[in-house]
Amino acid sequence: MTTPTTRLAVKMSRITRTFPGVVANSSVNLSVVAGTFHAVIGENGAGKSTLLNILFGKYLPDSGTIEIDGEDVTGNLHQPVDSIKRGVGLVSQHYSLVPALSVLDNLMLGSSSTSAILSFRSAAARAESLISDLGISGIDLRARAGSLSIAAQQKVEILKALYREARILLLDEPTAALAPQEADALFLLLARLKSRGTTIVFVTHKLREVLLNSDSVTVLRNGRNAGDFKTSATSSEELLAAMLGTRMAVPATVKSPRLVEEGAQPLLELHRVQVRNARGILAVRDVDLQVRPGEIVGVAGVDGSGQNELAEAIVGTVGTSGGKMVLAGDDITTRPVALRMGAGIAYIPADRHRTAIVPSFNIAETYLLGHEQDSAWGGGVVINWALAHKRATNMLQQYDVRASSRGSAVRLGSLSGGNQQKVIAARALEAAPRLIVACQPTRGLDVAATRFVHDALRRAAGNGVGVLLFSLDLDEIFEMSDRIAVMYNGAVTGVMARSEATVAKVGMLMTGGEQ
Amino acid sequence: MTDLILSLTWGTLYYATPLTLAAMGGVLSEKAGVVNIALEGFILAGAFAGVCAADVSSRYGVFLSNVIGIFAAVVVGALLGLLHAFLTQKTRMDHVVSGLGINLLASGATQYLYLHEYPQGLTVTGIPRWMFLVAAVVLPFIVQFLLVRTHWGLKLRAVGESCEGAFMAGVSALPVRFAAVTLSGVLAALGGAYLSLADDHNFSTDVSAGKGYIALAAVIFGKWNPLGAAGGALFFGFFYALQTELQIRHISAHFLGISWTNSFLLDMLPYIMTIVALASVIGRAVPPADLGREELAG
Repeated sequence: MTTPTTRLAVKMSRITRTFPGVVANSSVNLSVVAGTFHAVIGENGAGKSTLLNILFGKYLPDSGTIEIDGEDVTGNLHQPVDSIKRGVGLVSQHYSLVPALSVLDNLMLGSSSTSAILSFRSAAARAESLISDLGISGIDLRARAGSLSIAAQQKVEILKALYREARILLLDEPTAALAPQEADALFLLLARLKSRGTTIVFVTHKLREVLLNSDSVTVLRNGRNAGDFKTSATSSEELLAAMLGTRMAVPATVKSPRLVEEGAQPLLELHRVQVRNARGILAVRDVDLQVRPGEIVGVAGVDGSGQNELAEAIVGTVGTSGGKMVLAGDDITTRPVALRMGAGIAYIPADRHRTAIVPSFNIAETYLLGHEQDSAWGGGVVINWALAHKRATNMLQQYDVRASSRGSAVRLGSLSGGNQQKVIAARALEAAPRLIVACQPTRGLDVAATRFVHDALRRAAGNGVGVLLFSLDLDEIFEMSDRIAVMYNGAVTGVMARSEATVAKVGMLMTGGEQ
Repeated sequence: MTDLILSLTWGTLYYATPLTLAAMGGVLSEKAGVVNIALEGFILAGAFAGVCAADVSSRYGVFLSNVIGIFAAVVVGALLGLLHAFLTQKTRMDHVVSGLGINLLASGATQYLYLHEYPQGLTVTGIPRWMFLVAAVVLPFIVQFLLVRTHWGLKLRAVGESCEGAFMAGVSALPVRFAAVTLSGVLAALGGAYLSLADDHNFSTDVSAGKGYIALAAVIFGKWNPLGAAGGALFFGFFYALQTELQIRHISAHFLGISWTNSFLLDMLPYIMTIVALASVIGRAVPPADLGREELAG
């Protein structure tokens, strides 16, 4: 809006890209004025990342034209290096540094230098001057990239793009794994870059960030354009309406306050629990935490603060190196996973693909796994497939899993993320648990599927089940929890009732600040 | 006693020579993310090609025929390296399966050609071993420099650690991996040429006798570091030398309730030590993160 010219840095026209079974982008247009902060918003699966990756040369579009700085580059962006040469840099959602290499190695990797021999000194000098120019702090050029915090890795990604003189910086959901304070710092840095003339294309689904920081907005819905807006002339209501379309009419679930008996015997008690990770480093430090029956305890924290390790220790997939865990009066500290499951712990793992499912199993097999000896599933030695499929089909209907006509014989790997997650949630809830340990249960799900999972967890809590909800999404924590615990660097830095919690307070605890 | 120490030292160096040459090939290949059990086949094919070419060109004199022999070994090694790269990177074959295939191919082909073409055996004048020893001493430092101080080496390490990360940084894995695996074929075949041209001056079937696998063990032992791998080669070379000395001198050693004069048991010594060494180093050694993983599309 303040730009004197309207020279376009990026002009993508009628971009279409399909993946097997999915149209990710359907005739999408994107125009970004040079030197502006342009937001691209939409729900998960709206096609934002695909569009960005096409611009970065990671995917080829099926059809459509692309111009960068006025030059027609349609058909010339075969791989990232083609875009990098034209001044485009991408900070991807899943950071793409090489973790085993040092920060400086990562900067030098693929740089345009033509000499065969690496010059560490001049590269370091160049990096240092960039760092001081941008006012970035806390980056050790010799540190292994994989050892840095998420926020620091992100700074290195930005640095990497600028090291190669990127004039157009693409960022794909950069605040997803950041604490609020870290996100604020990122926006300050981006504002500084913008003032130096860098064009910023920012993908997110967080409206607040868009309204506070962008100049203009492109909204995508189901892989199509759903409106272009000037930020100064729009509102969150208008953007939300564009993002959700007709589904706006569905009212948000209202959380009914439940009564958790104050004096109730805790369902799960953790006493000074310690967990060491594979490298022998303390990932969970002396955690004390309680979950009462019918209570949802949300555990907030920046990614990698020990949440996964703690969840796995409770479920029993990793051992503890100290402390005690008690479930309904029984010490379960050293019990194997199967016995904990039998005692009523259900688990929704964070990494859907790696730990929650066997992609080549069909739905009936997925449900059966772990319940082989259960008489409800037929028990015995030989599998009763008719019974298994009948039960699985019932569960599909009950949990509204949209499998194809083959029903419970469909392979898990062929379902969408949302439907996979429903299958996993159904498996956890169907086991009649006393405690549900849910890690990132709605990551990557759209609004409808998220609502479904949330409702299912609430219903379970309403029936007296304790829920321990690990989430990186603060909105989810605030929406779902009766009590909120915050983890930082492996320790619980604070526990408070939902009514006492504020974003600022939780955000401070997440980053290790004092209250 | 000094005599024993001296012959043990030289023995170690000479046994370590082919191991080091092959291990450098192993480092390059595995650092780039390609599992390379095909070293064994490269060595064997190199050994046969070397001695065969030297024999065919023997009329050109000792020096020239050996140069031609080494050249032939290198070319055959490069071709087999290219084949391994093609199978693993282009057809996406599992790296171990491809390696096994190449080893079986090398074993079968050399055996057939040898028995068919040279029923009376094959002996050449050969060249002194120290020439290869010099190469084996210098090479680890060159490979180290290549990996750490050059742009190509940085790309190679990046591709082995994270194909995705390298791709997003504008480096495509394919050319880097092809070059690295081809080069590994060249170096391992050079180790093979040492066995036939410098060490034995002849060829015998399956002359590699597991040296490719032990070279790979040296790579792991050295934690995928060129100098470390050279150290691993010396370590295993020592046990070859020890085994030889014990047999030649009929020194009897009794421990673990076994009389180690038995030559079959002594022959096993280097291999047993490989298992012991790997068992103690595995778990602490971290391989390149994308080792053996599929290369990205594109």
